[in-house]
Amino acid sequence: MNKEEKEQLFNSIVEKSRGSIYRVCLTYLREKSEVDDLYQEILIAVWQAMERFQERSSWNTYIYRIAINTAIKFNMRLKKNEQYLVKFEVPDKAEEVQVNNDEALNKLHHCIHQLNDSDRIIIGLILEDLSYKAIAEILQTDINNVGVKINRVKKRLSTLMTKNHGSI
Amino acid sequence: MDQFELYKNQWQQQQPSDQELAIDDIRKKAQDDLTKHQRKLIFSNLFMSVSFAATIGMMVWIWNSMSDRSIYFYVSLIFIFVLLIVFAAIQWSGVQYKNIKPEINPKKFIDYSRKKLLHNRFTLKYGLPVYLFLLSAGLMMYFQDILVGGSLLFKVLAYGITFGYIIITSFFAYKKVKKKVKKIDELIAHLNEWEKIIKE
Repeated sequence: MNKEEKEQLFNSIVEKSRGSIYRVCLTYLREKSEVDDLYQEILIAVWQAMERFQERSSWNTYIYRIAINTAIKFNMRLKKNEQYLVKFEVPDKAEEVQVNNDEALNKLHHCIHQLNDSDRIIIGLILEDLSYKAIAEILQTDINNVGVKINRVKKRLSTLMTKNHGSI
Repeated sequence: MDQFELYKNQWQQQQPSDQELAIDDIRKKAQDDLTKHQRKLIFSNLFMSVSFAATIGMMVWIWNSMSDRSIYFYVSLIFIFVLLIVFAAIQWSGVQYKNIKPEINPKKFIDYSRKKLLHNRFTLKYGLPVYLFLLSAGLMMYFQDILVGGSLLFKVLAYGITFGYIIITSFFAYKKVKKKVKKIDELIAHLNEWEKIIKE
């Protein structure tokens, strides 16, 4: 792959996946500046990993896997460097979660961030409307197990939403 | 419409702003990051190897040119030699974990990250006592040789100041290490939790 081809491919990947990459960051982190840093770090990781793509999976699966692994690495670095993040607490009220101006979305963010790290990643994939098969492929795990986990996390989120906000 | 479908629709409305998408910057940063990282790795390893080789060369020269010293003197040189080799081995063994490829299977990614953390944990937990033992033993042997014929006061001062300094430094270093090990344990627990989700 020459430089021009690589740049073209990168542009098309980013154009197609920028929203989903960004939302992976949003499920995993709360602070806006950290979301932006992780988003950039994932794009950097995608650029660096592009030449190693071997068509064993789809580009979509490849990108999601990079996004998730980079998010885990990023979060671990935060936990390692910042004491306060380990004791991170979700605000009691959704009004304190100022992710954007949409009240319903703030409520959703508020409940997502009450889930644990791994559940947040799973819910991120579910909210992207990926099939069980696609999620199993990204996580390289058994499709039946993924189904059980997905149902469990969905139920957890729905319970939190009902408990805290009724519904959206 | 199903409640969860509503959540999905709401969620998928979120997009990064155009300001967050400076592709040219990302391309440049990715390239810089790659070369900077490789360069740093090569230079630090090269610098360490050259410095250690020079130190060992100097020790061989001292060994050969001072043939009239006591056995303690030579034993202290052996301890310093072992200290350098142990340190270099630890540094080199960590290199294998420097580059975890982000596109690998998440199970492997977790496993690799955990191995890296366990390596750091092992180095921190056992590296310090080994370092302190070799340093103290080396210094003690060295003092046994060079303080022959010195007054009692001079010997007490030399041993007292040196080992007093080592004990105080070790105390603070131990506290720091304990904190770091605790943090590593938290990170390992975080990875284990992740692994459970994937494997279960």
